[in-house]
Amino acid sequence: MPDPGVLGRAYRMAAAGGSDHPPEEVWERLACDELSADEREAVLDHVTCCEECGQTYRALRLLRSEACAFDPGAPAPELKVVDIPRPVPRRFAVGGLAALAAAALMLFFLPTTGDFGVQDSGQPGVEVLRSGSAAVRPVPIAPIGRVETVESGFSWRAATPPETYFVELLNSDGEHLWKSPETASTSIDWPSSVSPAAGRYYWRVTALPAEGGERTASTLVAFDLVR
Amino acid sequence: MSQPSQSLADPGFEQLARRYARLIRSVATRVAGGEAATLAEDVEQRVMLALWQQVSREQEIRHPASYVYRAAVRETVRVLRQERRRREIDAVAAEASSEGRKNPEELLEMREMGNRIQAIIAELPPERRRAVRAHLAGFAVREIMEMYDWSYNRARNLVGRGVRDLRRRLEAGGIGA
Repeated sequence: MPDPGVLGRAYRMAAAGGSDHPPEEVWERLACDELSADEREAVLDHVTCCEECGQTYRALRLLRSEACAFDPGAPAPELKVVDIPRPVPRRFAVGGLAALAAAALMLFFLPTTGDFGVQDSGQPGVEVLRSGSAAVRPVPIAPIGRVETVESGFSWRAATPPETYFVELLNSDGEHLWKSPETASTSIDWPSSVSPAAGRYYWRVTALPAEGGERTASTLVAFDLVR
Repeated sequence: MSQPSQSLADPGFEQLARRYARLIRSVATRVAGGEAATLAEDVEQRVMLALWQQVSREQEIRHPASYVYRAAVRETVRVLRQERRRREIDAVAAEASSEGRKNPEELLEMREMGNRIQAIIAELPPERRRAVRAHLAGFAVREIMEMYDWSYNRARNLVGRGVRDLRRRLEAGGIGA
């Protein structure tokens, strides 16, 4: 039986040659979560048959995942809650969240239809986060993007139904800095144990179900604290 | 509604465009791997100029806070396309040399196997088909998971079962038996 590399090369050779690459306008709408489910599926079908468009897809995921660190107008990247496939050796399990975050940050974050993005709030120059099919998750509101202060702490839009929450804060290397106590509020102060030094941080909020269901984590969002 | 000229006059615009230009060059280099080692030195300047031109052309900005991001998305697509064209020209030149020429029998064999793979994949159930296509196209399980909004285990199982089906049918057809 041919090895996996040969199967892949043979597949790509047979799949190559299509010229119906998505136009720029479609890539733009994909990157801004504006494609319908059918349109998105058609693009992904092409992406998995066309090496060229596979590269473009990867590049746009990277662009999105990193742009939000300096452009508040870029859509937020998304952290999927990964169900770990098998127990890991203890030495790799240490700092599990940090590893998860680091791995997720290295991946590409172009979200699926209905995931988080930005939309016009109806007020000039003001945009609000929206969520589609993932409405049950809490949605980080602030801090996101470039901020000059963290005095107002963390705030998020409630999950449905309302839950209790905890916040996790990571540094630019994906190392866990702080996990908040549980709260029923949709905001919490910056931790006194973490000095708000300039630099990049990541955070997310996790909703804890009242009756023992699955916890749901928000997207992992980035912000740059500038002084 | 914001006018582009106001945004371009904003001293923050140049800094934002410059960061996007650096990021676009960086992602283009990363996705193209070693092939992009020679990514043109002037790509950042070209991207800066292109972003400025794109934003200048906008008569009405529908999403004021994200229009530079949108322009950057388009520019990323263009940069990658330009780089691919440049590499294709290089590849044609290499092919013309005797060292670049491949064994035609080997090529034919690969193409036939590829066609057979395509035919088998087309008969798989939809989700398994998507998973196998993405896997053979070189996407990792975690990327496939993100792409189709599946859990990790679901993506891994769909890939595993799909590839197993593919191998069985290839063997049944006399390939690799």
